[in-house]
Amino acid sequence: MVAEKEKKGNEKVVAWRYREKRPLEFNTESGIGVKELYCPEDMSDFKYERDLNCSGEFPYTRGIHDNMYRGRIWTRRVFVGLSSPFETNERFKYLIERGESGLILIPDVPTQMGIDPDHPRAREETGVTGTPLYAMKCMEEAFEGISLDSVSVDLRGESPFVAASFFAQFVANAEERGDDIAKLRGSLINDNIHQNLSFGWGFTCPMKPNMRLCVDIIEFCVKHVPKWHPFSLAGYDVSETGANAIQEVAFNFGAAIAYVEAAMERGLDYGDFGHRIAFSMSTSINFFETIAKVRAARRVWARIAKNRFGATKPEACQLICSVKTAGSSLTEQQPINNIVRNAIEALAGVLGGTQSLDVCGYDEALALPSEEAAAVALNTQHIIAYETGAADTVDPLGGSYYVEWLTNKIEEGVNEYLEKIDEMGGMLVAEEKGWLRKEIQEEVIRKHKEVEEKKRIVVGVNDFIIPKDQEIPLPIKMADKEEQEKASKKIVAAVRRLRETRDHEKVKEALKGIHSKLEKDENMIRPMVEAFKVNATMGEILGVIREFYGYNYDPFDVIANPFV
Amino acid sequence: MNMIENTTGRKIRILVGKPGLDCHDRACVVLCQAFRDAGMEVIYTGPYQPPERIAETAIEEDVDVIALSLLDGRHMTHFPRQMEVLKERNAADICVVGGGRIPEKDKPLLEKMGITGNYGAGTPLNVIVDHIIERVKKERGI
Repeated sequence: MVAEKEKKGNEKVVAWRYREKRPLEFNTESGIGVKELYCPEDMSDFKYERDLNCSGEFPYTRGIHDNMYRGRIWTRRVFVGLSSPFETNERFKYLIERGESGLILIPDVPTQMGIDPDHPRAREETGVTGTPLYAMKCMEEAFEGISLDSVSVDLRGESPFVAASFFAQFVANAEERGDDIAKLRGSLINDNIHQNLSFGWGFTCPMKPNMRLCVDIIEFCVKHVPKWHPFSLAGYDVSETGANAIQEVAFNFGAAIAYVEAAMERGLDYGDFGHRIAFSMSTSINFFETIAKVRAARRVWARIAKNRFGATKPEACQLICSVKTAGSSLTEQQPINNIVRNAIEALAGVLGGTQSLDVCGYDEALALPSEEAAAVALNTQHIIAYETGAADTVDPLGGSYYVEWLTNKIEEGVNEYLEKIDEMGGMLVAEEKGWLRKEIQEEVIRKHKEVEEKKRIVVGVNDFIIPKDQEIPLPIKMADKEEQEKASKKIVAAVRRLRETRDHEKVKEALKGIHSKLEKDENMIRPMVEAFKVNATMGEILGVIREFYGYNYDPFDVIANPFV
Repeated sequence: MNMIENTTGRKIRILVGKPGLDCHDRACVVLCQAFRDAGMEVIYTGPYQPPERIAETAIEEDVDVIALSLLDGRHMTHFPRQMEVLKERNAADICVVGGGRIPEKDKPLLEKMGITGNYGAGTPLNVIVDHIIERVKKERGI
């Protein structure tokens, strides 16, 4: 409490500062000890060209473009995953009208698991924490009236298995609309290791088909959708699961190395797709650590690309990243304070030099962001871009003793982790062994303990607490059981109607086409696109692929393949 | 004997479960550790469990308490269903506690069904542990 009334004797208000005890030691969120003062000695073996260099120059510590935001402001995004593609479309348009330059589409959990809304396990969950995306018509509704070559679209597909399905839906819809797919811009989370690590969806799709589809997407994009980022690593989700700054970067890179090596094994040239890899990263409320993390990540990745993959083109050494403010840093208590947290984190992303930024809604600790919260999230970005001056010069913190020291520390930590992962036999092995999960869980418990023991103050949670009825009221739309059930019923009815009205024979043919491409070991994206065009559903397409690999048609083993 | 055995007669066996398809299980990791630290025996089912599976595991493992956590707003569907399933399987004597992202207005409704606690993020762990001990003591007539 800021001030507490003394119970005994005369009631007096005692100011907080008289009781405040500052800790003896200070640490960043990931546990790096912070010194009282940083001086030139802390950068004693510093070499400008080697460690920083100018922006747009190897190792890109200061930014991948020479003029950074003076040339173009980062892509401003706010995530959308409302309970129907129609509502999602309305929100997209609302945000585009307010200056959004990139869209993010979040699917619901059944979609992420690769099951259709009318699946017995999905019926009550469809449209709950994201948009159901089971057929081409979902994409048609979600992007209706939006010019696809004017915005970049981030499809949060998570596992390659599901990402391939989304992407095929997206491409099918674009082609049906008459758009040139070579002009499509956007990115796709296409990262099996992280989705399993963060969400435990590994059982919905085994590793082998996942790795195949991951590379299929890369291959398809290199040839046909050159402006797309075919694999974006889901570091953000790992961070939200509990990974600290160092782990987040290291696991991101460990996974990227595994996918790049798989693609190179297929015969793809790193130079042809290296520049299309993107990394999704989280901010944390730990301001300087976030800035140092993004800067260090660029430097480490540039060296990995050059030394490990033999990249020669500059673009193939540049780390493209998208940063989202940390949902886990937001509090249910006094949600208005989340506006401040989001703004500070967003600024850290910008000072770190991100290519794209997604700011959480102030209500995100409690509900899916309302229209109002989404607008504030977007305006936060406009304010940073145009009012603060943070975008007026490149890497304004470059050369700061503390920031450079911290950047070095993060780099050291990341390299240590990468060595461990290599020793273990790579990221796939580390994941399978459960080692990654164990590392993260230890971190979750450590971080929570710090808050429990008040070693880390969270305003409104473990200090500066006020009674609920004194909180500043905000318009927050809490989930409502009746509304959710109504929405779910509507979606289930829609998918059933689709199954009844489509040309059954054409669907059957298309699914056969998928099967034959699987047998021939050919790229799966085109046949998936064609299957979506004749209104096959995601559950059906992915079911056929699962069966081909010797697994049940249905990951929950509740329904059977209706086409047999 | 640990503190819990002293106060409640014997060890508390607790199952931590997430019914439905909610993936947010960071809190469960923390809670499992807190329950273990308090001397309880903990079984964690992981996410994506149907209530039937949670009930089966709870019965097989002979637990005293089921702790349910949901953050996706589906608690008013899955928590009551869990109670129904337990009743159907003659396991209504297992104490059920809830938590997650539960709006104030839902709390009395859940309490009425016998689902107590219903704590949200930021609740000190000892508050949750103490609540569970109290419920078990009541159940055991201590």
